[in-house]
Amino acid sequence: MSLKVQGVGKRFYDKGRGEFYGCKDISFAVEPGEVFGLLGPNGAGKTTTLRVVSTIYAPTEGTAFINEIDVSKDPQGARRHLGFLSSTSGLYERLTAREILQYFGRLCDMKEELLNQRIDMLLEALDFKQYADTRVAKLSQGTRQKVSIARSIIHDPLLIILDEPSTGLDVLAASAMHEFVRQERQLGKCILLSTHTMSEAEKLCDRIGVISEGRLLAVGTVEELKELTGKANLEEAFVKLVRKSESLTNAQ
Amino acid sequence: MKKFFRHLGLVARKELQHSFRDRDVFMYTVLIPCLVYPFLSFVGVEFTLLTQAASKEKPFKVACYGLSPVNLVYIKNAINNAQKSGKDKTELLESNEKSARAMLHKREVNLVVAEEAKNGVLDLYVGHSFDAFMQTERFKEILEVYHRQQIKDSLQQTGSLNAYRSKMVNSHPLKQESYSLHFVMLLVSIMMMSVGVCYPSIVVTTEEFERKTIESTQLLPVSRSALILAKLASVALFGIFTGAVNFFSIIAVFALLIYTAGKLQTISASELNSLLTPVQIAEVAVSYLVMGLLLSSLMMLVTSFCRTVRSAQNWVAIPMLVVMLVPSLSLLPSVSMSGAHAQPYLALVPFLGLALTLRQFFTSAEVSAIQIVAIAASLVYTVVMASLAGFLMFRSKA
Repeated sequence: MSLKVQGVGKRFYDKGRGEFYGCKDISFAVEPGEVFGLLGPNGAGKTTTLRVVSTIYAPTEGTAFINEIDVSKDPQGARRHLGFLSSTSGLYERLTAREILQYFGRLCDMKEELLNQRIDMLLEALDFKQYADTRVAKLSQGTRQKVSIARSIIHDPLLIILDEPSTGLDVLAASAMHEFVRQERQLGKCILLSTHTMSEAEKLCDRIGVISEGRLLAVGTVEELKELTGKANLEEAFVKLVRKSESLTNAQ
Repeated sequence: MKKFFRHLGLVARKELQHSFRDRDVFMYTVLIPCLVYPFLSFVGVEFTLLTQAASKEKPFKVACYGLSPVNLVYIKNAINNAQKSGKDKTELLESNEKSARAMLHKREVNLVVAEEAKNGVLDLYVGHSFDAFMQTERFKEILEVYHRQQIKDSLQQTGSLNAYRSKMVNSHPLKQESYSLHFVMLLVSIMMMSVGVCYPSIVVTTEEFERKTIESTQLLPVSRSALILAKLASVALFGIFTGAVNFFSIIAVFALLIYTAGKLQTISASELNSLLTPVQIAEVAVSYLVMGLLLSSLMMLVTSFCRTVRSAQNWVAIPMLVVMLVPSLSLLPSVSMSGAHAQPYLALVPFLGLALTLRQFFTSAEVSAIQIVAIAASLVYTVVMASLAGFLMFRSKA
């Protein structure tokens, strides 16, 4: 399983701004067992890129391939292989955690026996078995996040897309999230995440793509990015890349 | 295709489960229908008793034709007997069939008595008005009072009970389909259906945006058409369920009133017995189902525009008003898709065409081309509105 993003662009229309690009000419690839991070300031185009890859948005230009499946031609087929988790995605408040997992699992055509085994395994692994039959409305923020994680990987997808997964989480919950990412990488999953936190990117990502104003500025490991910019740490390297891009845009 | 329907069933089941656990949905679907009708019936009974008393003050004009001399004398005596009490102001006008019916049509008389079969049984004809039942019952009461008086007189004068027979009366069902009691009750349940679909449609559309569950719904490996159809099916089921709860609640309250109080002279218990054939019941059920789908698609279209539950609650008032008012036009006898003054284009008017179709099914089991057009048009509107709702929900947005 691999992910290939080829020249993806997404154009929007807004009354005030007219036509504009959420992201443009984005290309990168993620291999199995690799965590690829999209690092960028707020409004850089990270979420738009992830939404195009995860088939929520249809690309205006270019396309992405998930395990050789073209997301623009067969979005439904692509969805079977991906799990998407966003800090902004909600859960059905009046269903229990187990009902939510059963609902998503069944819609992914999982066999009933396998689905029940998978639910039990996730309840144990994410440590919220005691809340399995509690309605989501009564769960704490941290437990809700665990249910969201379980929901996004219930069908055991080979590509996991995480959109700012630690936003709004306390230290313990964020740490559990990081642990989850590491475990999935060890299982050979392809992981694409977006973040604007340097420490998170450094801790988790094998490679990083720096994105600003909808364009991918550079791709490489932390060391490669430092070397490319001549800076001592990732934060400085990031700032230099983004400033350079902004000054080029202003000059144009 | 099998997978499509499996997915559709799973999504619809989830929507039903999720919606039914909403307190608002439960309140408007079950609680209100169970509480509102006992209250309305109390008000209705008081109102009816008032109108009954008022109508007895007005002169009651009866035209007759083709009566046997025995029956004519009997009716005259009965009316004289009623007038003796001083309360009743009934007038009898002897006429022929043509002029009697003309007078009834012009509302110059309240009722026409005839003896069609020449076997002693009286045929009562009433005009096209909401108090038609009342006129029939008033005349029956005159005959009944006279019958009781005959027995009383016989006992007083001779000390024995002569075998006086009460007059057999054949009340002809009202020709005007729009005043069928069953149709009116069904129409009320259709109006209440709009209350029933209102909250579930908010749950399946707007709440997805407010609770931010739309993203995970969009990511399901399920076709958009299956998703929107499942949502439509669940909302329509709620609507039909609410309509049915309302319908049976009305019947239950009516039945209770009639059997316990016995005061309502306008509606007899026999009127509650269905005169519909199984074919008519099936036709009514199909039309009712289509009405549920049409209504649900309209509500879903309106709520899919909204991004907060609060704004959706404000916006649903408009379609609710439409659904309350437009089908009510079918109560007007002059509004018709068939007959002498037919307006066939009404078949294409959303909700009204279907209401008129339902009205026709209450009087005849025959399916006319115009009824098929009305049902087909409603289905087309349903598909268009559901597709638009799906587009608004699942389109790519900035």
